[in-house]
Amino acid sequence: MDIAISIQELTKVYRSPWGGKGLKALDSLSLDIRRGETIAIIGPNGSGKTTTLKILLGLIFPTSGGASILGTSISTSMAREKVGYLPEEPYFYDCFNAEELLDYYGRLFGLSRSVRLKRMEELLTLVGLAERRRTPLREYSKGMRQRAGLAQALVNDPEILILDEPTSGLDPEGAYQMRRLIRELRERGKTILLCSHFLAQVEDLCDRVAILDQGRLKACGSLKELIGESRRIQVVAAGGKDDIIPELRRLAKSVEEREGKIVAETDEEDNLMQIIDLLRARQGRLLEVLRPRPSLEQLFIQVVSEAGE
Amino acid sequence: MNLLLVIYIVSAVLVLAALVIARKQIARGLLHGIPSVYRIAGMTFAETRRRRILQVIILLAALMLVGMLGITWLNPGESAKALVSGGLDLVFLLGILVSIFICAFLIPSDIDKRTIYSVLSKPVHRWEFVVGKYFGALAVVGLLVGIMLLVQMIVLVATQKHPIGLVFQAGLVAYFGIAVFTAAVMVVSTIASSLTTVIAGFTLWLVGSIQAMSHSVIAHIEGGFSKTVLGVVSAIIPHLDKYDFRVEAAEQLAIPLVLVQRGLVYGIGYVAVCLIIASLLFRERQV
Ligand SMILES: Nc1ncnc2c1ncn2[C@@H]1O[C@H](COP(=O)(O)OP(=O)(O)OP(=O)(O)O)[C@@H](O)[C@H]1O
Ligand SMILES: [Mg+2]
Repeated sequence: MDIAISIQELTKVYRSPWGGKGLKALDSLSLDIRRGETIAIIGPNGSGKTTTLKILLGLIFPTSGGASILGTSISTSMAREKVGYLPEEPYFYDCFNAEELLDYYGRLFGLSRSVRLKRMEELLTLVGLAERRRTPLREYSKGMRQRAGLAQALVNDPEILILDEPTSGLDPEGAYQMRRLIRELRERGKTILLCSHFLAQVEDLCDRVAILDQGRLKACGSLKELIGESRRIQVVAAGGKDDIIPELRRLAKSVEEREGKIVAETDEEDNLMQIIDLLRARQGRLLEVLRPRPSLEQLFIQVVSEAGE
Repeated sequence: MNLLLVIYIVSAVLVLAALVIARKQIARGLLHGIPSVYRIAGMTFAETRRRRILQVIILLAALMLVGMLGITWLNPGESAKALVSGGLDLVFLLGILVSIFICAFLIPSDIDKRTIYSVLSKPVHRWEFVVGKYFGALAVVGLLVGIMLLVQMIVLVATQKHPIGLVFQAGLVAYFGIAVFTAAVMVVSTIASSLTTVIAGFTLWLVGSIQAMSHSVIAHIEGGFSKTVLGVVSAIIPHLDKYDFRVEAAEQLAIPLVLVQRGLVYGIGYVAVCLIIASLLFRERQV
């Protein structure tokens, strides 16, 4: 398998300048990120997500262990040639406007003027800042800074994108756009590593999820592997003649009455049609049919609370 | 033997050895590094130039020079000399001041505000960043010194019919001195906060001035521990007196070329050592 980022036994201890035991932010984290996949690192506040990303980008150094990006060790700056990074709460030289920012950052990658101009147009339109391109960044709102941050992360047309909480600070529309953008980039074959607290978004976007807690990897895999596929089918109905419930009990695994609605659950798809037929025969109204499955959120809470015990 | 000389020779040998040992990396590094340094410097220049505080200082400098003109206007006679020497004083002082503040706000505030994340996460070496910041700072200080010199020369020509060739030369050499000083402050700024950098900058300048004034005293101290300490201090701090030709410019005496050359050699060596140390320190810095 083609590996984009390989993290081996990464440990990070933050030491205070006055000595002391220090704080172990990462504890032998090993993780391989495949080329072309979208993977999310999730975990409670302070679990070491940002620390991991900062180590990958050479902003801080691991206490032990190492990592490589596209086969190049992260200890050389060349490893970052094909990487785009959106920092957590990005902050840029605020006297520049979006155009100048992209131009300067494009230069750092050694892009020629014509490429820079072309990218600038594309990216400003992409992130929706085309109309505010001449506004100094200090006058930007938080969400606009986030957008500018994404644009600068894409300036070198990177193969690998590292995004630290890409949707934090964005309005619902902006968050939706960001998700759409990430999906689009993923379809273009980019490898995407992101951190997020929005689990619904992670479920929706990512091929794999890694759960980090207190610097340790607690679980890693696709949603299917982590949560499993549910066979449960729920039928929600209302009304119907009096004997509808005992009749349903014969067909379904469980039947409950909640707030005037009947919720019948079964594991077998064959049963579904029989239940529906029964409803029709007893003049009940079918409201919805669902396939509930445990959410990533439930798994998250479970994994993290297990660790706490 | 002269301790100062030993220290200089040792550092020269160290620099040479480093160059020889790492020649392949250096060749490869320079190929990537020179354009990269240039880009960082350009970005630094563009960014610093727009800081409002700098514009205020430039305005103040121009006003002070015009004010000086007013004073000399009131005391004719020695006014041309006073204007030259006082003006160069001002240029140098403000140059040093601005260089301290720029250094304090370049790397430390980049780290503080986390603007550095989006720069160092690009394929930029740590040393390229440091050297780029240094030359960016020099460009800003150069702009400032240039403007002040220009104002001074215009005032001189307009009011005194005083020849300005020497003033220009003395100003240029003073700028070189400021560049040497800036390199020293840069070293501190790679590991310290803004405030510490400012304090260290002023200390460096103060100690340098005292040392320059007490040259003859130090020369007369006999051996022993205090002499060693003074020798080390003297080797560490930048010798700014080497770049002071105010008297020559004011009195219309030729500036001795050999002194300028000596200052250049010393300065280039000093800056090189400072930038190497700053890069090594910054390489270990977690941001
Ligand atoms: N520069 C630093 N110095 C000392 N400790 C730090 C530093 N940066 C982070 N830490 C500590 O390391 C741990 C992990 O922090 P990190 O920023 O990686 O968390 P995170 O998972 O990104 O959290 P969040 O979800 O809040 O962004 C925390 O306990 C934090 O206090
Ligand atoms: Mg974080």
